Amino acid sequence: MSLLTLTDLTVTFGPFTALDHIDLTIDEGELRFLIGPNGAGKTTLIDTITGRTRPTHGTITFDGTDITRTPEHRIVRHGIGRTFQTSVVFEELTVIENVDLAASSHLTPWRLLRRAPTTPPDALAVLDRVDLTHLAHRPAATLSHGQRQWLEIAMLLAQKPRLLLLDEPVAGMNAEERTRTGELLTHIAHDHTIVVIEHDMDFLRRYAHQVTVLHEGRILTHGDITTVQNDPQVREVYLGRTTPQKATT
Amino acid sequence: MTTTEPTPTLLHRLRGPATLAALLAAALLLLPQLLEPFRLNLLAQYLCYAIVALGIALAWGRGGMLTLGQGVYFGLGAYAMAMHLTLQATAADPLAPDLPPFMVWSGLTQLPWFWRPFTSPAVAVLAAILIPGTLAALLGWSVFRRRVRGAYFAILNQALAAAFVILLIGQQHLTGGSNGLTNFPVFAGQSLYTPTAQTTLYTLTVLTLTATYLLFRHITHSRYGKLLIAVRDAEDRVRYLGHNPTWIKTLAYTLAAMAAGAAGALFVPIMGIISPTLIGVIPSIMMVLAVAIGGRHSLAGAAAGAIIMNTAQTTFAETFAGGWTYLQGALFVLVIALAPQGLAGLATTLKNRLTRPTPTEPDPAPAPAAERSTP
Repeated sequence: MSLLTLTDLTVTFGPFTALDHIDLTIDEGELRFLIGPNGAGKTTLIDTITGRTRPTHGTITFDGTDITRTPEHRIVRHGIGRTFQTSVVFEELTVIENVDLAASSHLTPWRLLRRAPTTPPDALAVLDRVDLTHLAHRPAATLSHGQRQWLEIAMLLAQKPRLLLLDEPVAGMNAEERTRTGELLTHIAHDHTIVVIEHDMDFLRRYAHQVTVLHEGRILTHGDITTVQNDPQVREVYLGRTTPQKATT
Repeated sequence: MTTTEPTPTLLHRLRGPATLAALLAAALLLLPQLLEPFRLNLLAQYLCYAIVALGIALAWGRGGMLTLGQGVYFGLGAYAMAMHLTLQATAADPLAPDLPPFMVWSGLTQLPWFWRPFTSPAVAVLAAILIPGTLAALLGWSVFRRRVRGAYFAILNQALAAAFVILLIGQQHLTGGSNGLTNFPVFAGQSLYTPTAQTTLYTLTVLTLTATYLLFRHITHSRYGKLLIAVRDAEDRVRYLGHNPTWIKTLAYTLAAMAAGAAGALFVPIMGIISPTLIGVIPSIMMVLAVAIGGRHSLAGAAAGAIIMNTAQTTFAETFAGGWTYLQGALFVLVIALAPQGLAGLATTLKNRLTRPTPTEPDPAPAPAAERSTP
């Protein structure tokens, strides 16, 4: 069953066409990787789905509801969560407070105004999932880069979304952190639909099953990782240019 | 590593309320005995500014909204009360006509419609809080919805203060013009000129300040308080948590305006006059300045800043009249350059140095083991 459907989606910035008549369907329970060279429109696609950028043309349907013109925070409440390329966490708040705020968007203003519990159990459970429990009461500003990314994923999970959009979750991470993130993703994918933008080919080979390739605002091809890797068109526009180790694969 | 959850001991938890109770007792029992009526009256005025400062600390310090026009909301509260007191004075004087004198001089023969409800003291008090609140809510909602923020929002507030003063001066027959409203001998049948009345007003101000402080303190400790900080630091990110920043900002801005309105209403019977010069652009900036110096991130710091700055102003103005302005400017530059968190920030740094001289020292008052959470 399709969860997210993009129909004829077009985004232009002045004379520049960022997304060019995109048709894309994400099924419930899928783990989809989105790749493409710089400027292919990957981030614009996520921005458009989440309401940050408004499409010039076309519609976005999520779970049967048209969300093309819905305000950002309402799209989130419909069940679409996202992370950003450069992680943004609230540095002055503690780790658990960050997660707690993400978990509380359904509360009424009146309940938000009540005294907050120091250790909300829901937030703690989510922190446990990304293995940050031991840092719960540290200010988020003290986290390392990798920990910030996991905190963002924790904040995302706390929203209880049905669809997660992750923008380069392993960028800037070391090998060990990448492996941890990959395992985390595989784990989360059991009960969530996930779309991941990723550049890192090694990471893709290890964790990606279904891959969609974007190029100059259009969908170039779609398929499983081996098919996509061996597609001559893909090699030309993307793999050939960015990964010198393609000869070995 | 274990969870480093701050588990305050009983002593720690009681320290805040104990300090507050001691301050309150000193303010209510000691100061009225120690200070002569003139000084007590001055202090009551400063406390009114401290109430405004609490609002600014909430909206600006927590919410990042630089409220450079609080004079407007202070003024609306003040004028609501002053209109009531003017009508009372007119009614109490058997020789005077039915209209306030300035209206008679301006050739009015009938009380303007919007003055009429202010014959009731209850209406005046409610209006002093609700009119600033409503205006701030409407303005805030329309402005924050369009994502106007930062310097643009500050300038908008300044323009509002300037426009308000122009309106007050221009409509002399309705507002008393640049002279403002003055001569308030009675409130609710009681003379305002007796020492008892002044002590009562002072007590009322102390209690309002305390209530506002406790309310805002509660708010800063709620999830909403954390959201306010989140909106200040990364408004767009908050949207992607599913929260709507528009109402979050509007509420803090409205609460700040209501506090300023209440302060204005208290200020009028204490000061005995309200005029456009007391609420315009310059006074609005002074209100923010006092908060910057006291420490905008701390409610207590902001309130203390307002009291200290106003005390200093009076003291220095008594000794060398013109010099104060320069000293104030220098003080502001010093604080911004050396202690951007204000006096409250300095106090925290100092306290941290004193209480934690050596990090290896064992915990001086270990919490009961049961209270510690385990990961």
